[in-house]
Amino acid sequence: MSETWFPGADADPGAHVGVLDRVAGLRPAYGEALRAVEAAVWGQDQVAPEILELARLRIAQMLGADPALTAPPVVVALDAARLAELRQWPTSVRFGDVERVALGFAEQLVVDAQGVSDDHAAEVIATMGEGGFLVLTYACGFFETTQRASIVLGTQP
Amino acid sequence: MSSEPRTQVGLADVAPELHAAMMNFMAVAYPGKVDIVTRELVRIYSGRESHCRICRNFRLRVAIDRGFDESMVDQMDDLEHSDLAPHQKAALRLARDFLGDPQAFDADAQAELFAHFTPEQAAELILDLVRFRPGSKLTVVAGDEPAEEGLIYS
Repeated sequence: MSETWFPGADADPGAHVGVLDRVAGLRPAYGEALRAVEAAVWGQDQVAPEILELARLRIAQMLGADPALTAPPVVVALDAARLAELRQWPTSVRFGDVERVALGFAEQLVVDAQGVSDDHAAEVIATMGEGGFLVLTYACGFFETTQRASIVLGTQP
Repeated sequence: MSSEPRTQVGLADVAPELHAAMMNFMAVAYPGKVDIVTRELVRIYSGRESHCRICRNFRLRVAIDRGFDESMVDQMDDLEHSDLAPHQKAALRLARDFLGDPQAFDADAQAELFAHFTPEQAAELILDLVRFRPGSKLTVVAGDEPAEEGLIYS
């Protein structure tokens, strides 16, 4: 449960609904469409949920967001020891090749999507396929803006 | 960046449900509770900040019909000294903080937002900001941008 300064989006005690959901609920059809996008991001078959979750958590670190406030609608089990080294993924032995490519791409997308070079795009496509490349691109943008929203809405601890 | 497609397939081919959800997210956004000129300004600002050539150059004729003009875009870079309406400045300050430094959206900014917008309208602006950038980044990274700058009217 999280608090917000946003009027009309007060928390319902006992209901585990994030603040972005509550604010989005003020525009019901628009909010439902947001949730449908989130479900589709996690339901597609081009990028594994574990890769998506690593990207989401790394983006949260970069933005200074609390990832618990935008937790995915599916359970994704990640090794705690790996998560503890997520900031050091380029040098940590706990991350494999696909994860490194995905995390490097996620970081570049947050910093400057236009700065993704042809070589970088080719590396991601070679590792994850064209479908993985497209889905991860959109998913990282979605993770970025939903977490930016969680910060703006004043839900930081 | 690239203005040449980097893939032989599109999102609709590889993840049809995600593509459909994304398209529906756009479809239900309009008509909304905030005036279309203000929403256009926020959309164009997001497109500029996301370095998306399509998003920053796309123009809705209905917004032009209702008062949007290009001089408004030029004034986005210096909001405090602009001639934009107070509610447009408030919406663009939300966009500026959201996309640039979300932790900076402080109590004063919150008060300014609600001096001009109802909670329902402010929620719509936040949903707009959540929606715009993922599509912009997909367009940019997939190499689907036009090679040249130029306004696109719809």
